[in-house]
Amino acid sequence: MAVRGQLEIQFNWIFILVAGAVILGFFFSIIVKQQNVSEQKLAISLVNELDAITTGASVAKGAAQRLDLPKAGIDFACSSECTCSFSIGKVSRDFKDKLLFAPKRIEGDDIVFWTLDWKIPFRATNFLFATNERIKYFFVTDDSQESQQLKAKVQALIPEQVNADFITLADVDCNTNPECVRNENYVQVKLVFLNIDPNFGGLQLHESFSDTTISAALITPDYVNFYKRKNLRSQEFDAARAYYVGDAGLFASIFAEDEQMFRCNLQEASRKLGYVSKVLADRMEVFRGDAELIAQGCPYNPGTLDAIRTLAVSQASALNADVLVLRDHASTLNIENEALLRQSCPTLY
Amino acid sequence: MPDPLLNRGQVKMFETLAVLVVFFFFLIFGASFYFKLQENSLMRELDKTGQLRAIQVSQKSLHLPELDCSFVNVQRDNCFDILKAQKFGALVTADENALIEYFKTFEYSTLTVYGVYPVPSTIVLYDRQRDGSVTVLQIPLLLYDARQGDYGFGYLEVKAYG
Amino acid sequence: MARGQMEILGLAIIVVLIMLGVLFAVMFVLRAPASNVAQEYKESQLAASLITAMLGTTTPCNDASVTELLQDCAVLNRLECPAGDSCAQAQDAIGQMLAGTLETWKRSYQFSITGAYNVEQLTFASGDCSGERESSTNPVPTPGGALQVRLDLCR
Repeated sequence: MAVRGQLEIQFNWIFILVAGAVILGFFFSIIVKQQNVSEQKLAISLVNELDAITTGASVAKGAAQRLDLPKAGIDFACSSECTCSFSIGKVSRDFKDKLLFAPKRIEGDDIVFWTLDWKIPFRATNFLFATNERIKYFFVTDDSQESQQLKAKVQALIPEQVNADFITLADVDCNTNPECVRNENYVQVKLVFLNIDPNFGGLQLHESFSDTTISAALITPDYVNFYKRKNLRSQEFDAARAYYVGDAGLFASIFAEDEQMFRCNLQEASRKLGYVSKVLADRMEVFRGDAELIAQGCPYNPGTLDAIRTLAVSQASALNADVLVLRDHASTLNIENEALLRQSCPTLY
Repeated sequence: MPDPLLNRGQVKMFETLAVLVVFFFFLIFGASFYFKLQENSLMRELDKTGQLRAIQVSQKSLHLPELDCSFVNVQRDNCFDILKAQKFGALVTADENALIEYFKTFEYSTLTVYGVYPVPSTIVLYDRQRDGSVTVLQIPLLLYDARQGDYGFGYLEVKAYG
Repeated sequence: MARGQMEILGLAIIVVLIMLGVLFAVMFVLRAPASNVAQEYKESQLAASLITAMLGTTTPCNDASVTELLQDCAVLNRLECPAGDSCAQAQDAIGQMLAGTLETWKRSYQFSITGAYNVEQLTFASGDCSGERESSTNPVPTPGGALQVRLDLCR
């Protein structure tokens, strides 16, 4: 009887342990699953909100906007097939129709969005730029006319919310200048050389930059070279060249993470330019057939708009140096439009 | 004579089992309620997303260079150029590549411009429908005719499909 | 009381507490209002954009805009229009625009202009306006002071 009692007690305890372990295990598995679901739900919600915010930002031209940033930060990337997307955690969303130029990752308390029209010479689309105060842009200039012109253009347009400084080559090179620029808690640094050959082999950056993500770009009046450090702590950079048109194109080269993001977005912009110029050309045909406007002697020339359209369509497939010809066509169209304005004829744009 | 110890043990066991049964019953009951609430919350979130999308489509269309009223690159708000709208609608209808391109902007939606005054008119800008919920927005607009230099009155109707 | 009875009572109390909790949760969920983001957006911009668009519209009266018609109607009343004078033309234009939009959408509204005797006769209304309203007012400058064009959208 005593043995039986002892057995019962032991069996009872075993039973309690097993049942307790099963119940606890069951609840723990639910908690873990729910935590994953909640995190995903939050990330999806944030991505949806950011999608709506970037849509609003892309149509609100002019002033830069500072907005709160999710703690997880935002990653931006464009694949070689030009699928561009942003992601928060594991959830990503395609840019879709937005032309967004941003560094690979933005983290911190807030994010700054800024929109600029891409005009060739009529507004074809908006470029949206993203950055924050933890990303530093050093614009390196010299006394040459091209460098100073580029500096003036950048200074005139860049919003104050962008963390930017204008310096000389001497300020960058620690070999010759012990007071060279140093890292003040920046997560990323971009060195933008305005018409100056970077010559990375001869440059010595401050040691505070040794563990910082650094990228560089050389911008001339016609093209941009994107430089990427081969690896952290390296002083060697890989280069890739692309061509740009317009002030928005200039800033796109400053804010884009790399040549791939720049090229993909510019190709998409060219595609949009093709459709906008088609609509404007079809609209112009209506003016050309209007009896009153004919009698008024309004000079409508379809050649320039057609040339812009043809070039835009070709650049949408492959961005190359021919895109620079858009500047000449834009200039011609501007002159034609002004002539129409002077004659009180309906303008092209 | 039945063993009182055995009976007591059986009763205890039965009691423990009964508690467990009631416990798991409540667990399942609570879990099903919780998942039903989650489903409810998700449906509301989906509906809100659909509505947000309708607002985004309307905002984008009001600022498209293919449709807006601009004079030497100065845009007038809440205004469509009627000729641009006609040509844009024709382009999207005739060119499949254009339809694919503007799907990125408008997704599943129907955009129609209705002229109200002085002359009623209808222009379908874009039409890509699908089954599901529909959110409808109407935005009053000026409709500019560059030939006469005058402004008609109308509205843009955006139907976004969820 | 026997121990067994006390344990059963304890179990019964737990059941009652859980039922109460579930009841509160269900009430909370059923009362939560459905999201109406689109409706809020629509309400916030409809009145203002409607007035702005109406005032900017060109009329067949010497290609004058509705703003110009109201200015003439309020002060000089010199314009000769297809519908009569500038006041009659403005009445005709605004009436058609409101009929083609708010009345077609079956929205209740009240439209009025204050600031000069002639224009105060131009009033339009439709439906029941006793509840909440979303209003917008636009000024129209005239030599005799600004007219206030007001549109109330009723819910």
